[in-house]
Amino acid sequence: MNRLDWTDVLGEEAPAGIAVLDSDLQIALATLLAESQQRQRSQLEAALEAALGHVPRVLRGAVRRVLFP
Amino acid sequence: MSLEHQAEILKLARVLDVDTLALAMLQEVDAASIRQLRLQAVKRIHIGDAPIFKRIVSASRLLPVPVLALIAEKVMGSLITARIAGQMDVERGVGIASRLQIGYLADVCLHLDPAQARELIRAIPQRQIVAVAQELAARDECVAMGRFVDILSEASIMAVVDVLDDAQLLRTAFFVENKQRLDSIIEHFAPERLIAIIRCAASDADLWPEALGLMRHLNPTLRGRLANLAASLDTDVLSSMLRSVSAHGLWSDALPIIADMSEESQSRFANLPDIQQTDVLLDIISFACAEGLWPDVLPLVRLMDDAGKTACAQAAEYLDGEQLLSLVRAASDHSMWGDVLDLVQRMNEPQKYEIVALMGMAPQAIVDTMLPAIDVSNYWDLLLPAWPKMTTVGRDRLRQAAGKINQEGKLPA
Repeated sequence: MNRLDWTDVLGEEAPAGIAVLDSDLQIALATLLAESQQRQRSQLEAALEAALGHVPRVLRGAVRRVLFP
Repeated sequence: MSLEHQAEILKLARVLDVDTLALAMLQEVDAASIRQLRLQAVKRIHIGDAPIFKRIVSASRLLPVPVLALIAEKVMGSLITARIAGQMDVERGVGIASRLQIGYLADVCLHLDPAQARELIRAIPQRQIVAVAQELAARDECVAMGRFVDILSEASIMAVVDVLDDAQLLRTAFFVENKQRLDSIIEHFAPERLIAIIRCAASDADLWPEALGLMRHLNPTLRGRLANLAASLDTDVLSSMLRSVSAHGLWSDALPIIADMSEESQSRFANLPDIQQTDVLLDIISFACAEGLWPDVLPLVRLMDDAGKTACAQAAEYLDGEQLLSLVRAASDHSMWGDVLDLVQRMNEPQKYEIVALMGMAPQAIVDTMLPAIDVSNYWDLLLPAWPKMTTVGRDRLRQAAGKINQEGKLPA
């Protein structure tokens, strides 16, 4: 990553206390945030798949179509 | 690292689902910036996943509540359940929550964004809220509990207050996010409970940092009431506060609180033997200079006995030019020259005259307010021995100020 653009990570400027950190620390933090968001998204998608297994068979198709259009 | 800082790190770690050690890069960042970053991260995550959550909510409407509760607890895990909770229809959300184990609900609370789930949280029955609070308290999750105070109804909060012990209550109150809410909550506390909490702060657990940290956010009337209550208890309570404040460097929290005490309470505090120790006084002076707290400190000095005032004067003998300027500025801005001159008068020689010589170097507007005070208290004799140590600029300023009150003749030639 070259010069960090916080709007890519947060959708807005970073707080003042973050923006003055050394650039390598800012990059480490931004990476952590991006990885966390990605990891949580993956967990969510995996959980939805697993949840379908607990949905009564009769409703499973309908629920699947809503969850994964 | 302050308690507030530690709490913000913990809250951000919970949002990101990482260990607090992963956030070591934030060690030197102020708590307010970390808090802002957390709110931004929450917003970003919610916006990014909004389409998925919309589909989850639609799908959930096809399923009976018992099935949803089963899926939440067995499949989703507390982090995802917390994120879905904020999007659920309130009635179904309450139904699901009623079927979940209290322990699991407590897990969910660690990740839940109270602002996102405001309506759901408010609809949860009080007995269940109390049970979850007890579970969180048993896990020492005061930081997590503090996040919900802004959202819960006053009735629910008071029901939780009744089941928490004094230490849990104090620590939770310290971590409340919207501190303005504390005024209306603490107003309802019985005096006996307040006394018990103060005694808890003064116990070996030393919870004064939490107590003072939250008191500084209260309105001045309530703050004064609590401070007076503390001062009305046995001397050990005030002494323990003093020891804690000194040990943790909390004078900038403590001095404004002490300033809200009645004069009688302030006098008790100002005359504690421990406060008149040189190292403590040097500490107070240093904070007063750095944080502009002289208007809170000088009234305390005024209430000290003779030995205390002399100890203060001796501790103030070695103020540097910048520190002295903060003192004389406070004297000028807050009409406290009488206190400052009394302090100077008690200093040892020759430091006393060095200080007076430096005072003459203050900006003209300050010197203009000093001379009338010297005249009223008849402290002109302070100026004579200091005169040879003064610069020409200082002498000119004093002459000009003396001229304004027609007292040029009192100055050395």
